[in-house]
Amino acid sequence: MRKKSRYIPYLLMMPTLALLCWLLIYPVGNVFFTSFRQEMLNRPKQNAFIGMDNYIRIFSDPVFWEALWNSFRWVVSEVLLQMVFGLGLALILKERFRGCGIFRAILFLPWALSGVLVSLLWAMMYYENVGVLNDLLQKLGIISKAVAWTGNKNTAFWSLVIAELWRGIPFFSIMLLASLQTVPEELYEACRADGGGALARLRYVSFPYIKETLVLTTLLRTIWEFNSVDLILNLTGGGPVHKTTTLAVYLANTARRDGNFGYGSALAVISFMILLVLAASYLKLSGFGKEDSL
Amino acid sequence: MKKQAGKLAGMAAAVLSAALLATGCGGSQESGSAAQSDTTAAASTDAVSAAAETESEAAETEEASQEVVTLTFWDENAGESRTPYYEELIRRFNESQDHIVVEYEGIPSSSAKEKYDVAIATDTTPDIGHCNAAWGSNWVAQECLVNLDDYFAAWDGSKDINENYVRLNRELDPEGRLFMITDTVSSPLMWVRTDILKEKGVEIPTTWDEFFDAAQKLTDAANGLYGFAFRGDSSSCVELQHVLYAYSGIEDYFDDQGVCTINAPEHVEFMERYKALYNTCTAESDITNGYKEMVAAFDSGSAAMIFHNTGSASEHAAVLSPDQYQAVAFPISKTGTYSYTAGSQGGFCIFDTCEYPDEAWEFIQYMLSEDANSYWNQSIGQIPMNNKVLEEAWVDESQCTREALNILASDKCHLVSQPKYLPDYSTIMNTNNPPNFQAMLLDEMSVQEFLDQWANQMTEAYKEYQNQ
Amino acid sequence: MRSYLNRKKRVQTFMYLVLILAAVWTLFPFYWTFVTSLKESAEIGAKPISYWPRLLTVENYVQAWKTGGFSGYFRNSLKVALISTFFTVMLSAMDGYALARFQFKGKTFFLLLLLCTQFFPTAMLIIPLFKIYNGAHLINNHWSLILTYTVFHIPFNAALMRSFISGISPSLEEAAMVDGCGRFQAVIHVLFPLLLPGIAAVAAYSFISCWNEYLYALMFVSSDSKYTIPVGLSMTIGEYSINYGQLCAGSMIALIPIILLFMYVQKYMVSGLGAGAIKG
Repeated sequence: MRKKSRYIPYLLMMPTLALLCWLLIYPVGNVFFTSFRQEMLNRPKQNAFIGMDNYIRIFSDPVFWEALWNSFRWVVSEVLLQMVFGLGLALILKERFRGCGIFRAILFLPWALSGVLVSLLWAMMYYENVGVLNDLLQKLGIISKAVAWTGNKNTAFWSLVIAELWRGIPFFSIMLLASLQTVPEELYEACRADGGGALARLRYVSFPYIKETLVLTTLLRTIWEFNSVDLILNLTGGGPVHKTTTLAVYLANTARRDGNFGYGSALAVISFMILLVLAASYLKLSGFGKEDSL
Repeated sequence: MKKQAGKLAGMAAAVLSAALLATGCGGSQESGSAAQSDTTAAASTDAVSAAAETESEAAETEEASQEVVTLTFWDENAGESRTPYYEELIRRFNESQDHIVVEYEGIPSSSAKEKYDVAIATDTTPDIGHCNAAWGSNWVAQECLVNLDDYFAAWDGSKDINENYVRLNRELDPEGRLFMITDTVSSPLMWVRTDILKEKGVEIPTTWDEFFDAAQKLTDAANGLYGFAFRGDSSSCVELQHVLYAYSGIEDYFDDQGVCTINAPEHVEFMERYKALYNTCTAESDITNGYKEMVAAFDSGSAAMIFHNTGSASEHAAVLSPDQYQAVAFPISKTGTYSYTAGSQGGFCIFDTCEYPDEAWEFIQYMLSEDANSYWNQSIGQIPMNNKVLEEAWVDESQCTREALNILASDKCHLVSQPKYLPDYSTIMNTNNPPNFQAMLLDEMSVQEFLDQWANQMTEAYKEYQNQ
Repeated sequence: MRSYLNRKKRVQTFMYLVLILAAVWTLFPFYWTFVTSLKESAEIGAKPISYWPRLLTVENYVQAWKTGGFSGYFRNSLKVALISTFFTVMLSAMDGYALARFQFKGKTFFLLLLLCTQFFPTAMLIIPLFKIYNGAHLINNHWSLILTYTVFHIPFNAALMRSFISGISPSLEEAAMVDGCGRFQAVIHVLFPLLLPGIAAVAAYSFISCWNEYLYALMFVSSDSKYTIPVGLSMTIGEYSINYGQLCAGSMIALIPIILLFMYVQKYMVSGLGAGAIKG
């Protein structure tokens, strides 16, 4: 690149940086600051600086550890399943065949619904005695007795996973489909000519082209799923007995419902740290952002 | 900004609004009320619906002589079943006089607490707010409300307002001051599907033995019919607390030594029987049931009895015909009383950010007047707090309202005071114990342990409160 | 040759089977929303469950549009989503270009910084953000939402743009610049057409996220005339009453622009454009 172009990248990023500085420095700093304070809405007179007390309390809080484990289960199963199904659908949808436009449009739809509806919709599906799912499965003879999808401690978690999956797959399909478009058709032909099967084509032809997008979407999805609460709060509220309480749900209940902002902020800082370490190591391992990664 | 506009003469306000308009931030909340507080009555009643987008109009008309005060009012449970009635009452109020304009702003109930919390933290509260039953002590502790004692004492109509709820509202403040006035209450009841009971040949239970018996007889799990449905979500303990005292007839929440009575032997006994219903006479999913699931079970006929207050009346009425269901009193207690627990149910309050508390009080006074209170409670199907309304014909025609009032009027009725004044009350009721309740149902915790923990938390919170 | 054709046929059958299954799984909840929106309130909660309304009614739609105020919410949502999408696409294209085409100090830091914005649950940031907007007189103003959405959507979209742009060989722009084009012109005439699928993806993503955002939309705005669709939808769920019919009708209305958007954007995503071929 020519010399005078040195300042160009900074100039291009200037508006974004300015916005970030204006809108995020204070809020983020405030969370860190509050995490060292006792700050409860129901005891305003006792709000004070308490040093590390919130953090110390977190590490001896059994609900925290259970929530952490649930977050881990939640994120891993969501991201993994969404990616596998999303990639599968994207690979099929990238082919040109009759009706591909219609299928594309249909399969992306769940992404377009607002969380308010998705939560209530799945509640209507999962109701034990007036729910559609039980009615349908009983009519089809798959189950004989109505299942308490969100109430049974063995099924509650997976019922939530399925509902979230429904909403999450389209994001992967659409992003991966867009990036699959950049793979030149000749390369597939060449691979076929060399006797490569479908798996080989995926591994050696598609993969290098979609790797960047794959890394990015899985990483961001991990972060979003880690922080996602609406469906869980609406369907089980974190129950039964914390079986579906993820860290984000615990945080929401602590800060938003109970008004305990000090402890909530400390939980938020811990989440932040976990995600930071996760993201940094993931980026490093995957070599994201290196110029010659493609 | 409101302060300036209120004090400055017309000219200055015109300049101010023009400047705001020019800088393009005219849509903000504050500038909206600032400009409008100087409009004439006629212009601003028209402007109510157009909300804050009418500065230009406001700037034009402000030269008219009279000063008009604009007040914002937040409804914490907005929606089609309430908003139109509030809007109608506000329209009537705005037309009844020419110096106050109230503007309605609705907030969806699921996020109302958060919205208020943010407003309190940032000093952007509305002038008048309606407070949900669970938030009262929180707001009092945060000292964000205007003391209503003098207003209430000076008001002729105060003698018609239900004394009990004035007292319960005063309990929220350690010093007994009055910060909110209740306009409407809901009363806990038992809803029964009379059609199902008739079909199964079961009488409406009047004793607890009959209740447990009926729950069993009504259950036909193979056909998806259960005798009873309860709530398992964060409100499970609120519901449970009513029936524990309705069963035992114990009169006080704390005994003379300040020890909570929630783990009394009678309550343990009840809890054991109640727990035995789970997953035999109730659906398995009841353990995480929220309001919507419980009501759906009742209205669809998959549960024959539920415990809920008068608030769900309109929901049942939308789906069922009057001969299919009925609201009845809880079965009679071991000591022969009709008991349940009661506490402040919130109501209207004025926030300390309000520049015109006198005018705000005028609005509250209007809302509590016989006409308005009658219209409101009849429309939403709740119990009015203006005693004059109780004599009106519609009260007698609404089955659940009549039943709730009959219970209250009965000399066997006893209300156990809920300690809503404890700062930790809602944390204990909604956060700490519902998971334990679920654990107890799943045999991960014993009944005794569940109630002991609950009682200990209350006793400790009470001690802390008294030492303050 | 024959066995190859047979195989192809089998593969295709399998493909259609998978797609049909996926479509059923995807569509059923939509079907249920649609059916519910056409039912009367008495039928919605009743048993036995009806898979088609016994009594068809469009009352819910009429109610939602007129008394429910969805016509206003719809306008507000459209305004907020369109403007935010415009800014998001612009800014993230600029960032993406900088990240893809230049080597400079602080690049990794900038990438991580962008990611960091996503680490906090939105609920924790509301009060401080509210204070900032309040100071700038932007509360109860759609600009507070537009700014917030732009800031929170840039990070992902900038990274996405970066990978789209680095998928296109820089040799094309360089060739144009050698031919006497300025850098800006080279970008507009050479890069931009090739980048359309990427822009379509970013725009779709950004529009949909704005369209459905609820928490900020409720917190920073407080008058009914300025609420957006998700806030309107949540008003159908009261403390003691849930208007399923209106919620579903409102949601169906909210789907219309999204479906139109997909039909439009899909064209760009399908076309492929063979960007990779140029990279070669």
